[in-house]
Amino acid sequence: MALHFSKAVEDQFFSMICLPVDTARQKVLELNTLVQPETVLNEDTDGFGNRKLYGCVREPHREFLLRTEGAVETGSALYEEWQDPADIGLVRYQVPTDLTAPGPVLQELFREWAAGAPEDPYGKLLYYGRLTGERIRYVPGTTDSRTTAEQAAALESGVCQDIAHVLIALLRMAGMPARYTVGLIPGEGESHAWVEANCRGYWYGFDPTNQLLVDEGYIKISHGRDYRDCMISRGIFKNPYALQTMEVSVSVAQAEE
Amino acid sequence: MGTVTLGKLDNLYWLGRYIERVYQSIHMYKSAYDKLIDKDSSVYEEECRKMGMANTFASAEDFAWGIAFDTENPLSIISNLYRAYDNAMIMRNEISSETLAYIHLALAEMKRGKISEAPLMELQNVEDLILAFWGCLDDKVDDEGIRNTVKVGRRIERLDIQLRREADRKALTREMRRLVSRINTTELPYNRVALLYAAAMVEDENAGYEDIKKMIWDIVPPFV
Amino acid sequence: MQELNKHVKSINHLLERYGVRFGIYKNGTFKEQLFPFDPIPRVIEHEEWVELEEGLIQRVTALNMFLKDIYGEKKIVKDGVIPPEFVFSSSGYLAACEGMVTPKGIASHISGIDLVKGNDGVWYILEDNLRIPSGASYPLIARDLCRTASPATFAHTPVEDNRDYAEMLFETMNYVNTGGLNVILTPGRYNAAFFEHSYLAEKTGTVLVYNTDLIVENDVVYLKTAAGNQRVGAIYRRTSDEYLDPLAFNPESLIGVPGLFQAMKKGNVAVLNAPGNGVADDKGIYYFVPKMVEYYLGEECKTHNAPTYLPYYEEDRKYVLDNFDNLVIKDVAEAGGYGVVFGSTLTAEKKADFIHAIKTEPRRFIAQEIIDFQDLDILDEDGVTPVPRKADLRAFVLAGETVRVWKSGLTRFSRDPNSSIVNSSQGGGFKDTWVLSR
Repeated sequence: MALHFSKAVEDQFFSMICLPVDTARQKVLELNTLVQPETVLNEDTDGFGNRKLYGCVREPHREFLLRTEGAVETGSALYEEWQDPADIGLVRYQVPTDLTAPGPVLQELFREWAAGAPEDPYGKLLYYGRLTGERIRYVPGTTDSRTTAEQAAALESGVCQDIAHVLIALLRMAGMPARYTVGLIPGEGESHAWVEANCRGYWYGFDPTNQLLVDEGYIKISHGRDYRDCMISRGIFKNPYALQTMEVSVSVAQAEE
Repeated sequence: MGTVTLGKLDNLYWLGRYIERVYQSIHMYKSAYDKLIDKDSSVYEEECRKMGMANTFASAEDFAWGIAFDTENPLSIISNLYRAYDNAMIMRNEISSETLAYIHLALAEMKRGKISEAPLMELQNVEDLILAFWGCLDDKVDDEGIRNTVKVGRRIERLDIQLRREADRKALTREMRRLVSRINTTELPYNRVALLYAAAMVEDENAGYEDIKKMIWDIVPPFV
Repeated sequence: MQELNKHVKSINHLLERYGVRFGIYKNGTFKEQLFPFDPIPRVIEHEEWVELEEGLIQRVTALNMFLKDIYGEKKIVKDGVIPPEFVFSSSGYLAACEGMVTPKGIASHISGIDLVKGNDGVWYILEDNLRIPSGASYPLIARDLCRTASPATFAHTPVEDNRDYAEMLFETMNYVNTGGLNVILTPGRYNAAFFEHSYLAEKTGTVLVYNTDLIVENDVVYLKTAAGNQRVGAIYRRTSDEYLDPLAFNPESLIGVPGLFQAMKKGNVAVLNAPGNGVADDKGIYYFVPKMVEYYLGEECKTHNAPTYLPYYEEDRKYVLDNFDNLVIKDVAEAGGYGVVFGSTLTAEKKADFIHAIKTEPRRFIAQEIIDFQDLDILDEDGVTPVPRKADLRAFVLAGETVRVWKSGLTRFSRDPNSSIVNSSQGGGFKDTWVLSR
């Protein structure tokens, strides 16, 4: 991940959620992190159990680079840790947030679709996931990071973030705990977002953008109530005239046996 | 000097400058106003020039009111007092509520002068309140660094005004010496080289007033 | 007491001298206004105060236990006393604070509890303010000025001296201080309560700072001074949670201190009040405070809530819809007197909108019986005639080594005879509050 500044900045404080975590589905085997300009990297866990790296670069610079390389083993399970459906912590993933609160469009969509929904929670995840992926087309440039699920549903288009938000809103309306998930998928490109839903205690992932079940190709980095809890990079720096552009590039390949 | 943050040094310095600007302006205003009473209208054109202000006034009366009480005019006495107030109110902690109160009172007095038939009375009160402000600052503020920073602002402002009004070298020299001794009592990061040059230039008949002015501005660096 | 009325002129002169103001934004521009002061004090009898004090201490103790529980074990929710939706959908609940342990286990150090006295003689709690309640400086300075203007009044009346507030605040900061300076963090000169921030800084002898004066290095907060960096141990902050730290909360905040949240999480600095307190002073959670007192303390709640209904519960919803015209409806997300409507004042169309909103988003609203609260006399504009106006009382409760109630408070009144909204942002004024010592 790189940040480019149009003019030199100093006192750049950063906080990044960009490292994979150990879960029932994946195990981190090796991880090397490099930061430029060189500075102390502190690590902590956020309110959702995600790994957070943070620190500060004091001296003037125009480039900030954080590079992580490593190996993650996936495929040990299809689901995440079991979480008791009676656990009150799950309610966090059931109540609407600013980005996922339903308005008239989502409510109408839900009424239209709920009639045909299966009883089984896992079936519901697949059902709403498939319908959402079909209805909300993947069209980059039609939305931005502040677009709500309601707005994306009205546009019927968006990027993986918006499609995930729409599915989360629908699942929550159906009474299921659903969370926003950020991670990596095979190939070259940017980070990706999908949805996890708690089905009788098991967190299953579904990628509505690609209409795929989350399988061993997916490496998870973080989860939260919506995009805002999982922002890869947050930061602030000194120099009011500098503009920042962020570049995230990801490369995931299967290791040779 | 204790726990004064760098940002506040700037405010303290400018507080000193604006308060002194108000004080000096009132002085000059009073003598000019006196001449205006006898309708010597050329006075105000001269005053405008000395203050570096365009003469956009319709009459001597217009000038007399505008230069003192027009809040729309950034060079008026009341505008400068507002700027002193802006710097002072965020320094309550450093200069104490009692000292700050004199600026509140001065502002209230200026507002009364705005609608008064004989505004020299209110201006006289403002002058008294400013003197009380300095007295209170000395009495209530223990931290020498704080007092010094405000007073350096006062000295520099006075020199600046004297230079603009082309005061004689003798008066300048006297004023310069006071600034030097003031700065020498502090450990703050002033530009002491500029101070030395400025002091020498004041006594050197060949040094122009504009050049001295520039050198004096260099003495106080922006603290942040 | 009447004696003070004769001194209105001198008191006003003193208020001008000391610049007792608050800021307000009108049509997008910042203005400073004198906070209108009324010289007739609110007087609270000694016995009445003792009873009130006990209730307030109990209430704030329970609220602090609730905050500790919510960001920790959540027993009160697990035991079914409060439905989890009320906690997790509250805008004041901050997921980032999960698991955080505050110094000495205190989250709400300075609580402002708003009360009104009903015509039945009962004090009713209107709301709890556990984030950054303001207003203590006004009665504090007013008392000082009134004593100057009319010493005789105080020589003849047994009024508790309220000028110990700064000392109480200072002791509270010292108690939770993790080693270092005490500072008051203000969002700036153009904040509505700037007068208060600077006044309290002066009176407590702490440093008034802006966000740019603080810097965090390796999870420790420092104050940048002319004499170098100095460690900070306690921050009485007047910046709201959202803007406190751009790395943890609103990333667009320019008035925050980057890294402050992590410093706090590591236990390296105490922040008064702790972030995340909004979950406990939420208008929806208010309903559950008496249940909290019973749950945590095993005592009956000594303070009285106004009779409140939660449309979230079906039974209550039915009552609210049936009695809509007799109730006051509050939107839980709004503050400062905004989002409060009286059912009877709505047009038929607005009423239908509200009822629809209550049905579709029941969690968003609470409804309360309209309390017939006592009027207090204020001096009319002529400065002589007393006229009755609606007034409330904000009591300040400080939680440090012990929980104490400041023996005074901010009495705010509405200047409009037809309004019961007393907020200064809506034109209200204030009175001193006298607690009699015997």
